[in-house]
Amino acid sequence: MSETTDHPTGTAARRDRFRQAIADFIDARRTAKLKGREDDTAAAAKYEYETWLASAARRVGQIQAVTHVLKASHPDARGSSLYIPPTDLPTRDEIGSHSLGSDFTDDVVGNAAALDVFKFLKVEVDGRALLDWVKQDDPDLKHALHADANTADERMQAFGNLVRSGAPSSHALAKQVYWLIDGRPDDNRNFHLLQPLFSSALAHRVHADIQAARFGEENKALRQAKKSDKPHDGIYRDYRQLAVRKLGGSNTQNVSQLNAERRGTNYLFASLPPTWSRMRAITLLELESSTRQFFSFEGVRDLLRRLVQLLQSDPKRTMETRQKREAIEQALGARLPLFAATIRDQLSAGWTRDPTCELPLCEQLWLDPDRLTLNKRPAGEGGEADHAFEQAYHWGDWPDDVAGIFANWLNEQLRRVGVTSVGDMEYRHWARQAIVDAAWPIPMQRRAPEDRS
Amino acid sequence: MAKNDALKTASVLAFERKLDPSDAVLRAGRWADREQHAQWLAVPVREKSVRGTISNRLKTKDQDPAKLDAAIENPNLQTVDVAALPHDADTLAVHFTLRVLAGAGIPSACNNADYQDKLKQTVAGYVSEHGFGELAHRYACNLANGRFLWRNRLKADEIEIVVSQTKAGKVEQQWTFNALAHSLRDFQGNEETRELGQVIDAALAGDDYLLLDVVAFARIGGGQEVFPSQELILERTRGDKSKTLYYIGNKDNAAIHSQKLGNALRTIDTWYPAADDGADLGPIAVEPYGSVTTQGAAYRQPKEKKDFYNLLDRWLLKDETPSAANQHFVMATLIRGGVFGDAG
Amino acid sequence: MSDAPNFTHLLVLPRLNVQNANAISSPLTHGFPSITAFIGLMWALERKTRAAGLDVAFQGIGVVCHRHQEQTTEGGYTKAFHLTRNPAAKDGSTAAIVEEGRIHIEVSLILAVTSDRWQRDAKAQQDDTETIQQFIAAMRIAGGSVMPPDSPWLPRYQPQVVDLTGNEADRLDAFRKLRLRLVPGFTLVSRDDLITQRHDALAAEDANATRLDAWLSLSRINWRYNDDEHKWQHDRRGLGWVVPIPVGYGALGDVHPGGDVVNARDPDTPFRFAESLYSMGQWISPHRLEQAEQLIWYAQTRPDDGLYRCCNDYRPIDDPFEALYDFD
Repeated sequence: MSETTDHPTGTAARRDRFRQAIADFIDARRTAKLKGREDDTAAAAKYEYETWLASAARRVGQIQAVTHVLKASHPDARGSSLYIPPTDLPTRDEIGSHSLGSDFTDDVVGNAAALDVFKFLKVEVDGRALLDWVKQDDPDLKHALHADANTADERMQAFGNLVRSGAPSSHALAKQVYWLIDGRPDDNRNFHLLQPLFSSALAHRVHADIQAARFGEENKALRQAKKSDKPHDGIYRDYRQLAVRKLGGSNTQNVSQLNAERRGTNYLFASLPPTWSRMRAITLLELESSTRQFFSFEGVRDLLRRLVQLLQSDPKRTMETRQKREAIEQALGARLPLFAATIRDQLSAGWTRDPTCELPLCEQLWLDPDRLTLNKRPAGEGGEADHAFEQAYHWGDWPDDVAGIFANWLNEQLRRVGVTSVGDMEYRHWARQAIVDAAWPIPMQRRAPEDRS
Repeated sequence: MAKNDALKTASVLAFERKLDPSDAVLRAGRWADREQHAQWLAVPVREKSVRGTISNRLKTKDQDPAKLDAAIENPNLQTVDVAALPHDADTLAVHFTLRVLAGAGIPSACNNADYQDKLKQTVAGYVSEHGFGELAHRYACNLANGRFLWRNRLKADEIEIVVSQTKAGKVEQQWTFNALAHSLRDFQGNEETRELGQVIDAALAGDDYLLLDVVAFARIGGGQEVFPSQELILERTRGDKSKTLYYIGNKDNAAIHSQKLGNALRTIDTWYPAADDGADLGPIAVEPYGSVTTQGAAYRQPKEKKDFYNLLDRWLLKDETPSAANQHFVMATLIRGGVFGDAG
Repeated sequence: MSDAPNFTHLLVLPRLNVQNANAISSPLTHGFPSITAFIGLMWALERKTRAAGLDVAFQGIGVVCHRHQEQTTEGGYTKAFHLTRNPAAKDGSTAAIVEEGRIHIEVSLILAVTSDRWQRDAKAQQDDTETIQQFIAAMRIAGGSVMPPDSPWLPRYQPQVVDLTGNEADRLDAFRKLRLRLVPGFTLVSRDDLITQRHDALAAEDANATRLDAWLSLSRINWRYNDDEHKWQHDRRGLGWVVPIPVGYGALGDVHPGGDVVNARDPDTPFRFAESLYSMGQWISPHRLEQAEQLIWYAQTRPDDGLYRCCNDYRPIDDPFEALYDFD
């Protein structure tokens, strides 16, 4: 750091700067603490330079500077919290505390009554915190701590102890996960036991970013501009589906100092999957074909529009045109099994038994194959239909029929807008392929339910 | 034994729960159509606005009559969730599955081999002397008596419970219980509960798991309110609902939380010390300190040394075998599961 | 660089209904269990199959999510978790609530398997499949319980083995059939590439931009006013459903020999403090995948570098017909 060369050590001026900074800090504490009872001499005595330093050196043992906080996992967990500056971690492509570089905030755990000592050690002299000078065993700071060299040494050591490691310990309430290092998992020797710790430093940075997006003036103005559709310079940062976990309950300080500053708020980004198809409650009853439903299925309308556009543009009969057209037709064909899967997923097995189901048998077989797993109804009550259903399924030409229906439907859609040159044969081929591929193999021995209808 | 003097409780000691119920779904239908309950319609959760009255103690400054009038005219409108049977359905069906997992008494984590050996011996001793039969029978009784219906049990004039042992979707055995004929206060049971208990016993002690399909039918009358679980939400913002009911998938499917069912099933502890006032509370849920959340009380306080930790430590570390009753309690706590290590 | 595994079969355990799985996947993410939980499940499962004498080794695992219901409050700018009331403390007072997020998921698991025996013995393959299905039914998945379906006999619930021992064309064909049976649903794939891409874009405007900035940028929607089109535009067009995810752990210091760390879960296994590492993932419909390798996640472990992570070899393909996700 260049500051050291700018401020040569061992000068009287530098010692004074340390003394002055320390005295200013203590004075400020006295003023804040004794507000309204300035005449309380006993209380004031605690803020004498020497008295306060002696007390601080004693109390610093009650707190510990950390970057990774155990009690975030469970407020009753006891064991090691760690101080691992991000700059000490290896650089990785993945995101983690190392991604913070030197831009991070220290956290503190321990007795809240000793937090003033932490603030004291963050006081800056010559551009660096007292704690940094402690770590460097700075002679001028040492001198300012006490005139007697031995006492000063002890204090340096005590303050340096703010960052300490000690014997590592875990706890039953800490998360501990086994990770297979190499080889077979049935050999216990092949594992490491990992204890993931909460990176308060990283969480703090993320928290700051989200707070700024939620409550910062700049982002507020942007949000307002976007809402009213008015121009505005800058980027509006829009976090969606955030969840908040509260750490530490009503005692956020018990977890850590920064956790208290965050009011226990632990923001969590959403990794949620999307929800399949927004088309809910598809009904196919009282319909003579499912094609209309298919038309409104996700993506189909758009693909059809592209196909029409391509054909209406009266393209040259080139290889390129053909490939483009084939690509769209294939994509359309691929929508068929998705459509069928969505329906099978939403309707219960046997839905085609409903008397108001008017679909042709081939579409019924395609969209309700699980009906085969149900017990057949008695003769006279639908048993004949169930039997015919099963026979037709195993006869196996229904995928061709379904493909034909969709090829005809596609042609009709195109004719309606004045296009006649569709590759009917190819489309029928793709559609059939898609339908056959997707047919779930019906197990040879069906496990018929015995107590269920 | 000299070796035992040095034995200490493992600092990491954890057990998985061995009674693992699913959430229960609520359906509505007619008592006569119980056989077709799978086709019954689910009970939906609906929102309703209620006009609260001013009944909380007013602060002195609000006791000004004019202000009070204004406050009363400014009604305390609240939204709450409710669930009820439709008018044409007189019966509530509560359906869930219960997995009973093998290996009762075997920890899922234990970082002290000597302790684990001792635990193994101790559990083996319990099994050979008592077996899991008593506990299993009490769990069976809590299925038979419909305790897991909670408030839904109160208003029913008839309750039938069908428990089926299933494997790969096939029913292997089935028991039907008239829940109101079984007391909530004792575990007397009958021939059927003993049969079911034996099946549960075999699963707890064995190495294959058991799957029970449970349906309870409670005839409570058309249009009557029913009681799904209520969600616990700590951070409500203003204008939020004051009562949120639990549902599965979407609001058409009211449901009861699995942990609520689990609590009812393990309500078998009748062995706790008598309360100071001599009141007999009946069975309480198996908890390390015998705590009953609804009462804010704990009936196995450490000072009486009848809590789980004291009993377990003395049993394992000092070879002071508890009474048979408290042995049952300790084993039931292991079946309940939890993190019990002594890491200080 | 890649530890991409080789495998001979895919074992599909379709549509497992998992209740109360962990919804909080890391200190910075929620909404789906961490992929590390599924890798852990795979290891736990192999311990059981080995103990039972089966000749199967699991090389990786894919996850397709068909349904999900996270137990959170609806509406509001942020969600809160529905909690469970913990048993009271020893004095009967309410115990401190430790917030745990829960989610119900219906997932298909696709295990990448190597097995010599399965190639020779069809009966063994069928028996092993049944055994594995039984094991899974009694295990916890990401902390949740596997609940049997109402109609377990339906074909959609039957486990399936896809043989990948044939030539390239056979393998592609087998996978093409499989993927259509995995819809409707979405599978999680890795999009590590997006962070570098976004970082480059940010660095072009601000030389100090970090990879963390890029990750944060990808974790939100960024709107700019377009002066030419006179409207606000977001940066998600063509990006797909990308989400921030945890991908594993990075060590915080050295390995402690077994027994050195007080209160470790066992006294024999080497112990290491670690923290979650993050990247980007994408939820994609399985029908858009071309080969099995694209949906399989596998562990990549470099203890010397302190790296314990999960990898997936999906590489984005340009699909002009994919439906776009739009926001407002």
